[in-house]
Amino acid sequence: MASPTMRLTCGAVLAVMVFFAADARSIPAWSRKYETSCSTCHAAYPKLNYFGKAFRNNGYRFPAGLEETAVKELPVSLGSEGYKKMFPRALWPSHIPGDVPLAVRGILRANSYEDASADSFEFPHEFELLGGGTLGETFSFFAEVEIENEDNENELGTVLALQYDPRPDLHVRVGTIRAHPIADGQRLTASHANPYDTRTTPGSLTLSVPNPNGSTATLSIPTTTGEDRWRFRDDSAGIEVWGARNGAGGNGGLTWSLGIVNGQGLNDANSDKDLFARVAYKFGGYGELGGGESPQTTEFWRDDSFKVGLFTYKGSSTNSYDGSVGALSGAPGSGLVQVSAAKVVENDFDNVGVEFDWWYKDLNLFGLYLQQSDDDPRGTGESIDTDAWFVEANYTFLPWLVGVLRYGQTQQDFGIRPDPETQEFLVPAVVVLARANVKAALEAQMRLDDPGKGHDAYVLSIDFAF
Amino acid sequence: MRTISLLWACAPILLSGPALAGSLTGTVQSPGLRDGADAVVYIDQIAGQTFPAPAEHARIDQRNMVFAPHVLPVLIGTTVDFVNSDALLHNVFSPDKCAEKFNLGTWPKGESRSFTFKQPCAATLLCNVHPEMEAFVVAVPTPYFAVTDKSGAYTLAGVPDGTYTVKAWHPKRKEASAQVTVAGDTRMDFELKK
Repeated sequence: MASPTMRLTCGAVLAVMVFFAADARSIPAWSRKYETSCSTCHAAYPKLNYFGKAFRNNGYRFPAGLEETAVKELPVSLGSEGYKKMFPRALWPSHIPGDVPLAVRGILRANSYEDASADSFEFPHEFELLGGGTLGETFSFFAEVEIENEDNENELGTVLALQYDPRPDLHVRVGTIRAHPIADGQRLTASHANPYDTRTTPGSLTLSVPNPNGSTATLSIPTTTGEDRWRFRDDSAGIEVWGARNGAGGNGGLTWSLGIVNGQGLNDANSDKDLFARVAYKFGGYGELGGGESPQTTEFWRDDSFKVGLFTYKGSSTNSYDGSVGALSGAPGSGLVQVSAAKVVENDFDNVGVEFDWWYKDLNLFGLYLQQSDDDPRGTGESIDTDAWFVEANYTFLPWLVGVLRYGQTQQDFGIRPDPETQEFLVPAVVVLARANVKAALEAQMRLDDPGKGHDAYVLSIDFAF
Repeated sequence: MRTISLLWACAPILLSGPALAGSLTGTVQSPGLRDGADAVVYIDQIAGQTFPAPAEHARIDQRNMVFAPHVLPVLIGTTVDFVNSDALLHNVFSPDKCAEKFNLGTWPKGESRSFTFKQPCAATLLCNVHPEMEAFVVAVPTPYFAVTDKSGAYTLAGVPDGTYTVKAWHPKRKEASAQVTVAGDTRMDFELKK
C-alpha cells in the first residue's frame, strides 16, 4: 500500500519542480555541438518535436544543408576534401567530433503500489551514457550504455549503431535496430505502451515426464528458458534501410523503413531472421526532411499535421526450456535421482498494424493498433491471436507542463480457450520540465480489467541529462 | 617625312587619354557555408590580350599545420613558393592534372619549394604528412582577381571599362559565371550553389 509519507514526499518533490520551472537550458552532446537548447529538438525530452525528427531523418544533421553553419563545436579533420581526388590511393576524408560526444542521463524513481508490493525509492532507476554524432559527410553513429535497476539487480544494456548516409533521404543503419513504429524510447511515461509489452512466449513451462519409480503419476518439472522472449519494443541486432522525403511544398512527407534483425538478442536463438517494414505519410506540418518553412514559429512543440502509417513484422522465435528435479528411483537402493526435462518451442509469428500521429496546436494525439498472430508460442500446438492498441494524448499547457493520458487494450484469443482475455490500461501523468534538461513526472499505472484491479502503481520519476 | 608619318600613325594613341578604369565590387554568397570567405572572383580571358606573369613569386606558408593563405589566386605563369614555418616536416602535392600532379617532396622548417602554375587551374594542395591540411591555388588568365572576405565582399580594382566574363569560384561550391559591363565603379553579386 502507498504510505502517506511516500505520497507526501512525491507531492513535495513535484511542488519543488514546479516552483523552479523557469529558465530552460540543456547541454547534452548535440546541445554542445550546436550550442542550442534541448528544446530545439524535443517537445519535452526525450520526445522529439518536428525539428528533432527532421534532424534524425537527415542522419543526425541539420536540415537543408545547414549542418556546416549550425555546428559550433568544430570537428577534427581526418583528411581534407582534396583527398577524394586521390581515392583509391588515399583514405577517403572524414572528420570526428571536436569533443567526445557523450552525454549522461539519470533517472530516479519513487514507486508506490496499491497492492502489497513494497513502496520504494529507486535511486537510481537508470543511468545512461549516450553518444551520437557524425563521422564525416556520410557516416553517423549512435551509442548508449544503460545500467538499469531490475529487482535490485543492475542490468546492463548497450545500443550501438553505425549509419551510412549517402543522401539526406537515404540511410543504412547497422547495429541496434528499433523495429517498432512509434519510438518507445521517446515516451514521456515510465510505463510502456501496452502493444509493445506483449510477450506470448512464456518464461517458464512445467513439463511432465514419466516417474522413475514406475508409478502411474507423471513427474512435473518446472523449466525455464534462457533465450530472450520476443517483445516488440526490445532492441534487436540487424540492418535497416530507411529514408524520408518532404511532401508537396516542403511540408510533411514520406518515411519508410525495411529491416532484417535477429529478433532474440545479440546471439539469435535460431538462424531464421526477422523482417520488418514500415511506411508512413505525414500531411502538413514541417517537412520530414525539414528545410521548408516551420508551420509554427513561436512554439517549439507545435506542428499542426497528421501522420498515418502501416507496419509489419514477421518473425520466428526459438526457446529452449530446461529443468530438473530430484525424484525417488524405482531401483532398490538407488534413492534420489535427478530427472531432467527439456523442450524446444519454435514459434512463427506475424505482426501487422497501423499508427497515427496528430498534432493540433497544443494537443498531440497518437496511437497504434497491432494484430499479432502466433502459431505455437507455448509449444502446445495452441495458436494465439493478439489484438492490442493504445491512444495517447499529450497536452502542453505551458512550455514546461505537459499532461499525458494513455488508454490501451490488449486482447488475446487463445486457440483452445472459449473466452478471450482482455486487459485494459489507463495511464494519466503530469510531466514538469524544471529545466529543458531536468524533468519530473508523476504517473499512475492503472488496470481497469477485473483481474488487474487492485494493482495500480504510482511512480514519480525525476529525469535529468547533461 | 618618315618622322611625320610616324607621328601621324601614333596620333590616335597620343591624342587619346588613358583608358577609363573603375572597380568591380560586390559579394559572393554561398548559402550553407560558415562564412563568405575564400571565394575567388576574377575576370576571365579577355580576347586579344595576354598578361605577362609577374617576376615576383607568390608565397604560401605552412604554419601551425595550416596552409596560409587557404586560397591564393595568381596570374597564370606565377611561381608560388611553399615555405615550411613549422618545426616538423611538411610536404606539398596536388592531385590535379592542371597542376601536373606535382609533388614537391618533404622539407624541414625554414626551407621552401616552388612550383609554377602554367595553365588555368584550381589546384588543390595537400600535405601527405598531415592529411587534414588543404589549400588552393587558383591560376587565372588576367590580373583582375580578388579573394572574398568573411562577409563575402570582394573588390577588383583598376578594371578598364568594358564588357567581361567574370567568374566566381569557391572550393565547396560550383563555379558561377556572368557577363558584366564595367563602367566606372560597378557592382556585381554572385550566389554560388552546391
